[in-house]
Amino acid sequence: MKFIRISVNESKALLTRVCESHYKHQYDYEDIATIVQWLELHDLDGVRTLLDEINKPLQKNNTLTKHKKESKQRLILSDNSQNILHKIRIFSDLTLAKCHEDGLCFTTINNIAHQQTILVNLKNVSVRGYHATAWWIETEQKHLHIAKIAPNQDYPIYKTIKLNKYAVNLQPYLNLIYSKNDIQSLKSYTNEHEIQGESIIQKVNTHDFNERLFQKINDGLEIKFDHYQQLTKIADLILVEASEKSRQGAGE
Amino acid sequence: MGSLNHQLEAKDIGLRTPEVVMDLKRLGSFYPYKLSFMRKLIRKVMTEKWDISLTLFNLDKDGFGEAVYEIKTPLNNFHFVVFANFLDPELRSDRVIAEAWDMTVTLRQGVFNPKDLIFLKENVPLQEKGRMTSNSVVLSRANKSSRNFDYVINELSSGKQPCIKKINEVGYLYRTTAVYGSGKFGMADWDKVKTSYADFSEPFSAEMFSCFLIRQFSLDQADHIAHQRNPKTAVKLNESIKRYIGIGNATGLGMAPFLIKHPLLINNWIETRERVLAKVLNDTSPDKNKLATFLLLVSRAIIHLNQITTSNLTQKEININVSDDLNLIASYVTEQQDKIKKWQQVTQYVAENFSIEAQELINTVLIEIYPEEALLFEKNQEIKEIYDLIPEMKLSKLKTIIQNQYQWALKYNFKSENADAIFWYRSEEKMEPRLGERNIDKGADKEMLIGIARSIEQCYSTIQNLSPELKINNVAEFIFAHPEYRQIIRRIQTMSKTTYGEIQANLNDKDVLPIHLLRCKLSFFGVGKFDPKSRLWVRNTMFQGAPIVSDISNEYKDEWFFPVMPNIESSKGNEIH
Repeated sequence: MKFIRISVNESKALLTRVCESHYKHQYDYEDIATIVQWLELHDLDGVRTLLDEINKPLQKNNTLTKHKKESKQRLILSDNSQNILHKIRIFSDLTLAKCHEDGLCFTTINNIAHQQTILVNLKNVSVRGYHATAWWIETEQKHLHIAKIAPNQDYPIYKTIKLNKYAVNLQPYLNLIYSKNDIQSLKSYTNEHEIQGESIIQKVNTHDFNERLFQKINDGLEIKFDHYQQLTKIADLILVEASEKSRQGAGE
Repeated sequence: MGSLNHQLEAKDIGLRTPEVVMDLKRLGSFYPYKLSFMRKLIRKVMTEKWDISLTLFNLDKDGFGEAVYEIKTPLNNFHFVVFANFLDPELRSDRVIAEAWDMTVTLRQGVFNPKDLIFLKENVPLQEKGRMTSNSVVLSRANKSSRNFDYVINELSSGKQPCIKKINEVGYLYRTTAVYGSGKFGMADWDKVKTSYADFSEPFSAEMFSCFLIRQFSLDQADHIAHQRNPKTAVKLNESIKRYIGIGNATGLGMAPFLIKHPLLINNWIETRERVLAKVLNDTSPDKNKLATFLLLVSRAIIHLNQITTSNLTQKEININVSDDLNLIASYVTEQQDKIKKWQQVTQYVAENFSIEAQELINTVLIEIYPEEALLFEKNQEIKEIYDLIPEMKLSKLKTIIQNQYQWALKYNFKSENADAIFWYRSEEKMEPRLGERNIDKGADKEMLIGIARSIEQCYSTIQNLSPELKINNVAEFIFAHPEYRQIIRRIQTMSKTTYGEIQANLNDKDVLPIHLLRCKLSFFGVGKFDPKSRLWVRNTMFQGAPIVSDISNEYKDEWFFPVMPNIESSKGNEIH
């Protein structure tokens, strides 16, 4: 398989153009590019996720979610399982604002795809001095994903656990708890699987995340060449045909 | 620091208000100053005595071939690799969209071996179409100034020094048309450069250093060709003339969006300049010596302005007017010198009586005569450009911030045709930013988000018109309903904690003058001798008057400020091969 090596800055510039091209100015395209790049820099399939979402029809602004139900300390959002990249930050922002108000917010987002996109948001919660936990089940693989972060940390601890049993026909979901204080009961829940002897197939900590980032800063990123071509093609859609008039800004 | 505290502190230390400083016309009147990036770089190179030597100079009689300069700094080893190729004069173009150049170069870190040269030879001359390795820091190219280059060679080869007045007409032998760094084309990322190659940890210092060495190569190449052409009679270029030869640059719209896209960085640059100025004005008093230095530098600035050659009538007029203004200011200071107890008396007099250009030039001179105060701010504070949203912020608070700190943006009427007549877009030619006229030119549907004033006005207007039934209380809820404003709200929230950063102008206006943006950025780079070619691009000169490589071992006087023609008899060839 052919790869192309690009620098971190090049990847940011390319992804920003791709996101501007696809999401237009209807969404925070710069931030969406940041999410994708963060995932890619940390070996979490940012580019593949973006291309996957781009290939599905984009939900319009007014169908951001099907439902939004609120009560004190609780938020239930329903997504349509199609695209999440342009909404995940908005859901996280809502949770954070509610946590700020009530000291805690437990949010469930139903029918959601690409739940790993939440990982980049956890740092934003942490820098504001809150605890955050996110967890979801990947039904096909029977994988439980749990990511936790304490205040003022750069990265969460992110575990993937192979489940021995789980409820069938589970709709894809993402649970978030943002809180002012560490929640002991939550700690016991998220540790429960380890206690039950279910195998942790991946545990990524701050050191691992840092190492992945450092390697990319030093050597650049390797992107599949066909992905790179797809991205470039989408990015180029924001360019305007040149003319003699347009060249007037380009020197003599 | 909260916005209110920041504003109080700014007032306390006598910083000028953002309404004054961030006016586009004033930004476009800035001159290079003591802490401009080129000045900082040369101070570093000279005081740390970087060891720069030619390790390969494989040029033919016409000056075509390769050259490698080795640079030993206290922390690292770099190589500057030059490819000088024949270029059909018909293909010589300053446009960023050109495909071939007289000289292409790269700056790279580490050990250099012959195999590297093969790889570089295949890629560097291609510029944007080539790929670079992750230890490359800068990629650039330059074209000969056909007027000056051939003239200098002819004079040198026939044993004469070129006429300094003729050199002055252009000011350089080569001009760069693009200087790329920060990870472009696979090169080292800025995060890597500032940590692993810490000699270049100041913004744009690697790019500036490459321009410095392009200038050096242009001088070495000229000496070489002259000698090859006539070994018996040729003389080397006089060192004073060499110092007066800078490196040209053509800057177009490509640079403009940078100032809009990096407001925290711009805030840092401008705040530093304003703090230095405030410190000089508040903490120093003019004595006889300083007044004499002030007058000396003003007279040097007058000569400098008078020696600028530009075909742009507006710029010509500006230079003449500022020169006249400076003469009057000098007379005032000379007459009043016994009565001048504070520099504010001078700045106030200048502000009340003279143009913005003259005001900013006087500010630059004042900073120059107090190096100790200015150099307290020499070390750049690293800025992390993070524009995070504060989702819990009450919408009423956001509204207040806009009303208080973005009043300037709310004064435009974007329903009027002129206020939204221009759109910015990226051309398919090397993705360069361009301006289009709305309803006339193609591309408005692919407009760049450069018009900050318009985005703020739209966001504010949407907030104002929200139905109370929606019960939207905080920013997160507002963005849930209006995701299109997330980007601008992050910016407002972040920038509200700073003093400067937002350029207070409508960049969608029919009469917008992007050249002010270019000149502002170039002044921070340390570029002088602005020669606008239209409202969209400007020629300028870098490193004119700066030391050359052979000066590095000598004692350094940081005085290449408003360079003027050296006093040289053009016919004398004093350095014979």
